[in-house]
Amino acid sequence: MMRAITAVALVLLAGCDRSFVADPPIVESSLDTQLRASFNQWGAMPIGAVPAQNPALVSLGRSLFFDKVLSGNRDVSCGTCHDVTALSAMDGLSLSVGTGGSGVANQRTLGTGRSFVPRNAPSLMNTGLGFFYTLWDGRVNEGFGFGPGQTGTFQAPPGVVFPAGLTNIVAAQAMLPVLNRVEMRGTAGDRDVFGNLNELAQLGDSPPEIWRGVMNRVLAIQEYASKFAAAYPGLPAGALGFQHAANAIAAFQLATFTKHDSPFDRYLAHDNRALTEEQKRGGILFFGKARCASCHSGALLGGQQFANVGIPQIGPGVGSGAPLDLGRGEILPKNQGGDFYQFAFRVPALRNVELTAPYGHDGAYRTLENVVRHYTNPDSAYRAYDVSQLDPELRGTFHGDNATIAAVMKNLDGRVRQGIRMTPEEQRQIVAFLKSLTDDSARNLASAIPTSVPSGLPVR
Amino acid sequence: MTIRSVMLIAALSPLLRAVNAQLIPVRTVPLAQGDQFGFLPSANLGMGGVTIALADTLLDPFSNPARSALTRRTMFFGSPSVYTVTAGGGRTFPVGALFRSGAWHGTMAVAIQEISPSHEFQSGFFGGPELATTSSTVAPSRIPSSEPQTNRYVATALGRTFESRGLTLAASAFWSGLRAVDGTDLYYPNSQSVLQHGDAMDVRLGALKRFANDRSIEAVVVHNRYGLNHEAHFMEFIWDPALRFQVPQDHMEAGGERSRVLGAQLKYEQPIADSGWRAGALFAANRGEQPQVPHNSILNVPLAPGHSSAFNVGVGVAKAARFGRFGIDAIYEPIWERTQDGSGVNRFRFSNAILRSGVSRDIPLDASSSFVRFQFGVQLHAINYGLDKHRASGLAVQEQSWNEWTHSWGTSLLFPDLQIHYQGRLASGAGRPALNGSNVFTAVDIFAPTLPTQQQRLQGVKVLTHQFSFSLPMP
Repeated sequence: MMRAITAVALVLLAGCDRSFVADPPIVESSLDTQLRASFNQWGAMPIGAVPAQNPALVSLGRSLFFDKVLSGNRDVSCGTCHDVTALSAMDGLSLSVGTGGSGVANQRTLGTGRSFVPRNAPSLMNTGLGFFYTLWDGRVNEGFGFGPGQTGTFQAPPGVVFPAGLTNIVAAQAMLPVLNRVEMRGTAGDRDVFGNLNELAQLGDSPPEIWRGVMNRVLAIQEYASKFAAAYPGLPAGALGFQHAANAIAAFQLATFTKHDSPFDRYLAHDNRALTEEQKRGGILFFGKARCASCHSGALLGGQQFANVGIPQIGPGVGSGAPLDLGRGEILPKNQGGDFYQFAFRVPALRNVELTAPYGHDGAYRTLENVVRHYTNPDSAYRAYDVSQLDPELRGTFHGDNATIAAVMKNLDGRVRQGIRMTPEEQRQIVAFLKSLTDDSARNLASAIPTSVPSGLPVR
Repeated sequence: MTIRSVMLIAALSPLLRAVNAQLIPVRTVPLAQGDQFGFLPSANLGMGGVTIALADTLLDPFSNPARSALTRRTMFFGSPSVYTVTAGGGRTFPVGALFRSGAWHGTMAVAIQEISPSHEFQSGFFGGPELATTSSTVAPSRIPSSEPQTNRYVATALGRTFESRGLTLAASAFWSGLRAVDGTDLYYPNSQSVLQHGDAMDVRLGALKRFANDRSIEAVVVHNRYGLNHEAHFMEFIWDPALRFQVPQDHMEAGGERSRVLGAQLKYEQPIADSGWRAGALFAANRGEQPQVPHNSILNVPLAPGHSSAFNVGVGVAKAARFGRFGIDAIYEPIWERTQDGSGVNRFRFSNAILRSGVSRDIPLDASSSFVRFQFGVQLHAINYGLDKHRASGLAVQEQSWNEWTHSWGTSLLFPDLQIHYQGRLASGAGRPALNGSNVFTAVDIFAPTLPTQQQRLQGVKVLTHQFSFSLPMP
């Protein structure tokens, strides 16, 4: 009997032994499991609704956005470069054509003696989702406080002091184009479309004086006076400044250009069928092997940091770096990151990126395929850059000399320095994923264009 | 036992450790399932579940109600069971009786079961289920807590024996009120809680024909229906544009499972001459439908509504001597399953095999009619399938195979007026996902040459079950 009991005890012990336990087979996780796990790593999450905007403010902003009366020569509006008919609130040009040009959207051509705006017109899509920076070099940014009462302090570019009362960073940004001689204001001596002297261009470079000049024009139009009164009831006309116009433009932008009902957003909301298999594979690459999300991270998939990814230099350049564009390195003092950020630009947020071609701070790449291929080896991509994808007028402004390339590559962001190994199929999958970020309602916003504006100037 | 196989087509269907073969589980992924439904008393469970040629006087009446005819006299039983699996587990306390009165006989049993969640739910950034937010656009919410849940079971059977013909006919019903089915929460990785609500019904008609020379043939027809609603709650973050910050919110995802099975089994047994050995053979067929499945496939195997045809063809031999028993079963299990969803049609072709073997030894206590019994057994369930995925992009073929081992052991004290059993089982070979994800950011080396893909491999899981049971014959 003791032998039997001993034997059974041994069996029981063996049952607890590790060697007695079989391991499960290796089974690949589902694409959904892989993709969703990576969201947590990079902070991808659904986006809540933007606060509802005052309809009167939106109506005023809509008129102002499309009214060329804001430009010195009365020939361009916000909507000229931020076209809403076929693209994601941008013109489709590598570098925009400001005042003095002719045509609309990507058919727009330079006026005689004019130069290109040195950077690609950024998309206005989703600018109200809570970015801390705006513009390619982030020269407008908002204080980093969180929560109610912590917003509303905006850092302006050198030489500009924002007035009080701006409601958000979109409004702060809207204060700037009217100051820029290439974009909207014009050069001294310009005559407007009616042949009258451009009084805004005659002013000095004092922003408050220019903003007052623009408001004088606008408030002289009775319909605008009524719209301002409706948008700002109780505020006397004498107290209205351009910041009130900028707030209205921002309200229109938030109400009209907030588009984040993409397949990806529906997937974030737990609809596994919202993405195709190819898009899911692309997403897994985006958040994994291809490390796109190391820059395009967070809820907005980018927009909150700066990186030099070696985009070819094109155009007239900016500031002291001209004919090159040092990007964020241009606006920061050397001892405060200016060296580190040379050739670094704001990482774009990627929702609706399919609609925002051309790509890069200077619109160097026409297609998403070319952008993705660039990351496989930024150095060789720069050296092999095909200028034929640029408008003929811009081809001669490509800076492809060895010294420029060496300077750009010297400061290349560590995340892309080694290049990202991707097969052609993987590149296609990433592009497919990027296209899943498109909200179909953003494909054509022509309904936002008013048939007329208070100034009576042509809208298009 | 009936209920353990009600989710028979689901990817997470309960691991079948039953000694019956009327219901055939279709398992497409090697996910371990707790032994939630193995709580009814058994005389042979410590022998690997050998069943084809070896009678189990306690469990057989629940598999085929006609086999309650073999109950010699009324008997009460109780069989408290405990199982553990990874972070989850459960305990069950069934009580019941096998009764006999003249030509009539039957079974009655009720059970209360408490199940703990089968994975540790994410406690979340804020450490609790209550979410407060100052967001202007995201409403505050409260996530239901994850707590052990209670299931209830009621089983009854009634049969009549026609001695002159050696024929027994019987019917049984088994109802389950379900609040928790082990493994359901695996469908919802990173969830805070999964509320479940459903029931199952298993109805059987059984027949047993005994011939001279101890030969017998039995048949069972079974209809099994199962439905479980899921309400998964996730604490997730949403970006608040106004606050420019992430705020927590409760996301609720509704899902569920529905299945119906119609099955039949035919089993034949006979002694092999006067050797003391018996031989048996069985054939079982199931036609199953699963009109609803959970939305999430956590492994790279499609999970979609569909139907299946499953079969068991098995033979067994056993020897029952005065002080010892031995048995072995061999079953071939072909299954065809077709599922379909928006992504296409999936065709599974299974070629499974089950081998069971067990021994039992009774040792007399002194010179009385009391014994101590020791049992040991092992079961191998080899699962192998090919999957054709018909997609718009073409045909993709996938193959998968794995082996699941179940070691079992037991000891009993057998007195004329009381039997006390302990039986244990250790199942391995399947696993559970090692969840890498969480609801908070994790550090990533963005300068690493390559970033790891978030693979979710299965971690080996041991399912350990202990069952204590007693049976008390009425005088």
